[in-house]
Amino acid sequence: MRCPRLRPGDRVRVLSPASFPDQAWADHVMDTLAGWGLRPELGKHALDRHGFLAGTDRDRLADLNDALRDPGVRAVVTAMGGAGAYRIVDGLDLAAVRADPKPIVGFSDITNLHLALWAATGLAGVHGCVGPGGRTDESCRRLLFDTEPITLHADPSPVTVAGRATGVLVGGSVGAVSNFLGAGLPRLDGVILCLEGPQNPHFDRLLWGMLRAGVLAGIRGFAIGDLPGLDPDVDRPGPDQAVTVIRERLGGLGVPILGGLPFGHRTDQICLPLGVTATMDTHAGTLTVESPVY
Amino acid sequence: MNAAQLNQALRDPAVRTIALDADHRVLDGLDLDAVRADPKPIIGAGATTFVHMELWRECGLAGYHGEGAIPPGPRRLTGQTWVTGRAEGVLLGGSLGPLRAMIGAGLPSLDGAILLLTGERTQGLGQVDRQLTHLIRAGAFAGVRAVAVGLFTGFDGLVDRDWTLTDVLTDHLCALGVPVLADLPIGAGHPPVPIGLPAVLDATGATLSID
Repeated sequence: MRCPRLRPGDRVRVLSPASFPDQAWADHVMDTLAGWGLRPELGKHALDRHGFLAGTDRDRLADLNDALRDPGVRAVVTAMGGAGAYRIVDGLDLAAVRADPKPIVGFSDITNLHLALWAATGLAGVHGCVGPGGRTDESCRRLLFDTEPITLHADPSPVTVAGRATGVLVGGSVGAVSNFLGAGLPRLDGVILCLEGPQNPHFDRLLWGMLRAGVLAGIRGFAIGDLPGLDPDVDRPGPDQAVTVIRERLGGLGVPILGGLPFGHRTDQICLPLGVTATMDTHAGTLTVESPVY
Repeated sequence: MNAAQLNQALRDPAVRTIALDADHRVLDGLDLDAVRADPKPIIGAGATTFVHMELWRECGLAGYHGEGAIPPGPRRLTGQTWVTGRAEGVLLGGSLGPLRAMIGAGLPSLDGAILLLTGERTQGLGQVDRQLTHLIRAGAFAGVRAVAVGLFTGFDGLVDRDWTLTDVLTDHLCALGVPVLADLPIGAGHPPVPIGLPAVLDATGATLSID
């Protein structure tokens, strides 16, 4: 379910559904959005602090649902990932999302929101963030305002398995994807699964669980972003390193894998549409994705 | 121990207990017929919880969570009361990470059980929060009669934006509406307690009793 594109003058809400940013970073995100001609508003609880969370579950959820229900708010931009979005995914106002779809921008822990909303409503969104500048901001702005597809170019990668595939692009943070196993993750039939994440000592058991649960049946391909342990210079990678895990768990599934894509936990990631059709081509080294907006 | 070594031990009639340090990698290909024909307890902590839960689900096999020799006779362990109350049930569970990793992939029903939770730090508090949230969202704790919290190693002194491990654990476990007894001497480096056998958790009296 794609969303109406943004236009200059639109209101957008900046929120913290997981951990909190500092004031300076929130200001910077707001300034960046204002620079695109938008009217950014900071959520009521976006700077709250409650342990590592940006306020209580109730307040973070209220901020999010308030933005989803407000017909004048045309996008939700998350200021931070961190931890905690998974705590509020069962309280999202799905009726409001279906009635008035609007894109959510975020990655890392915010992948939990993308997955919950895609599984329930098919909502499209943007994997990425606003604020780092460069091609990150430029790609994000483009995905929110323009209806053209975006193409990402992959670097050579030791996990690439040759082929071409088309499917709905779903995923993001490996840890967040695994949060939905047995808890709302549908079978990923017809999906290209994109995966990225910071250092995770349990990467193997996460993929093991997904295979054992059968959710990868019917999958079309895998698009791999930044994962520690994909360094092509390592001669003999250990059993828990991402290169070994991906090769052993996913390499034999008979679908293409495109590694080396520039998305994930890096300073210059390119933002990626989610919940829309993508085509990956390992020969060309490209992942081309429809715009999340129309 | 890898899957072949474990199966060899399961098939050897002279082997009467197995001290195991293994993880999810041994589960696919376990010789379940050998387990059913000649059940023998497996002793281990941490990722061995994968094996305990798999063999409980498949064969109803009881095991031991901990390390070292099995102490003789009934056990009576003392902990710290988080939520008062008393419950009887089969003690099931073990290390939090493996329990979470088995959601949707073979985690047995914990309905009617006294849930044992231990843990090892691999990441920060957010990881524990994710794991507990996942188990609760998936309904894995439905029907649990009480919670026995053992040792969570590696979290001493960890404070993340004013929160400690206890804040994260109590936030989830004290909201379940069942008795909770914490700080029990169960886990890696401690004598084994039986998994899959009846126990009585008296959080009011701060004791966990196992026959």
